[in-house]
Amino acid sequence: MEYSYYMGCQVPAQLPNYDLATRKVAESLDIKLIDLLESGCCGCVIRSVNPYTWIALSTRILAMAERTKHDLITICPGCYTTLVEVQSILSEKPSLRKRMNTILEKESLIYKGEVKVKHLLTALYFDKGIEEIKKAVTNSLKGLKVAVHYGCHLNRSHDYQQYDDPESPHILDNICEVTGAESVYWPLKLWCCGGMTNDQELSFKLGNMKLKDAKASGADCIVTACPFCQIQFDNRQRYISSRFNEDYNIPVLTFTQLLGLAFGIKEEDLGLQYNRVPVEELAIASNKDERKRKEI
Amino acid sequence: MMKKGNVEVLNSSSFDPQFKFEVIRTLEGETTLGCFQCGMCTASCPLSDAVDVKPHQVMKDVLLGMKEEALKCKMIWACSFCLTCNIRCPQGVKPANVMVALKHMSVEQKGIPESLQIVNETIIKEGWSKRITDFQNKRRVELGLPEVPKVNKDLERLLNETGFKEYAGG
Repeated sequence: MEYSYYMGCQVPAQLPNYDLATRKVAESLDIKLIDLLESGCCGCVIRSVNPYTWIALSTRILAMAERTKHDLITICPGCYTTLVEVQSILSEKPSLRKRMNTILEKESLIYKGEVKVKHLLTALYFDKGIEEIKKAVTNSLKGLKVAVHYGCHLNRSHDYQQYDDPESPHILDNICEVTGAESVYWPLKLWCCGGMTNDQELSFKLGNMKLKDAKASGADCIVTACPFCQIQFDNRQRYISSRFNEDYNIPVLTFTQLLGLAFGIKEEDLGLQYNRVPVEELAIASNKDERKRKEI
Repeated sequence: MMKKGNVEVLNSSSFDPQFKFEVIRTLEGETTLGCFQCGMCTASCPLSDAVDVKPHQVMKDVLLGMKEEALKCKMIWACSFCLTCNIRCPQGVKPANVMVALKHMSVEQKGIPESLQIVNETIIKEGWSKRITDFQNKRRVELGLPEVPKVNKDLERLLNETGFKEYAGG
């Protein structure tokens, strides 16, 4: 199984752990990733500034993926939504596509509209299948309670809606449950984490609400599928806690890190040392039952 | 806006009846005219209790032609593009996308807000919306991950040809 792999801006800039864990998990599932390193930004942050630059940047990535002759996977829902949206705009507006292709043709790229864009999550769920993932699990995380967080752009992008219900999605829950962990109910599960808003005050307020809710649900950790959410919950958790006089101290893992733990991959190879909220306690939590049994 | 007691009285002579057509001609504002003011977008919006003008009011501003109000409100910049309004709208309107269209109009009219200015400059200098520092690249190599290159000639040409550079200098 081969894919072209686009990681976006936030992952190389701030989250080497997400990238590392993704590659290790892909390796153990026998998935080959072909890097698109020269691609640059997908343009999602500047769509309000200049829509044509946004579309050109995205088309360039799509064209580069087409050249590899494999489906494109992203690990950032922001990039995923942007790319599928650009695909649908270009299929509706052939004149725009022509204009984009005249820009791209100078670097001998062409976008024909054949490439399929996927988030790693849907690639794992539909292309690989739950059964295959189950086979790779060697270290059950039974007893671990996870608060699953999808990220807005993943489960509400119009492409994803063909696979799953945007109001009660299940794909990420199922993938987490394969590891033996339990996905807990938390009322604000599908709410925005606030990581993308231009208004910082609002962003922290939303982040605080979500963290409070996750903590109250009794979860041992939060599991994300989006770099923006990971940064909001993990990298900014200390700041949000001190600002609102709280002490959350709840570890935040990307879903590939959780899968990696279940596959028995070493913690250093999953970049767990780069998670800001220490995850050592998590390992204890995941073997909670076993420990209890031993104590008895 | 004039006040009579507690009621704000709008003066319709300042409305721009063409404004809604301007919005639907943009890439993202096509669905605007479907709005029948049910308020589902505001009810779903995680930010609506913290902003001055609520999402459905922005939609109404557009439909009435209150261009100034629509382009200066805090809501359009606060929107985190979480898409909840888009999936719940019974009319198939995409309020989140309309916000993007309005942001673009506001940029054309009033220039770019400071927070976006930084992102623009980073894209032009680095090719990515977030600077990938030498430190991060060194760390990536240590972890066995490929180094991520900066902006190249082709990307620079693309930014030039789509007219992006003019947005960077303010």
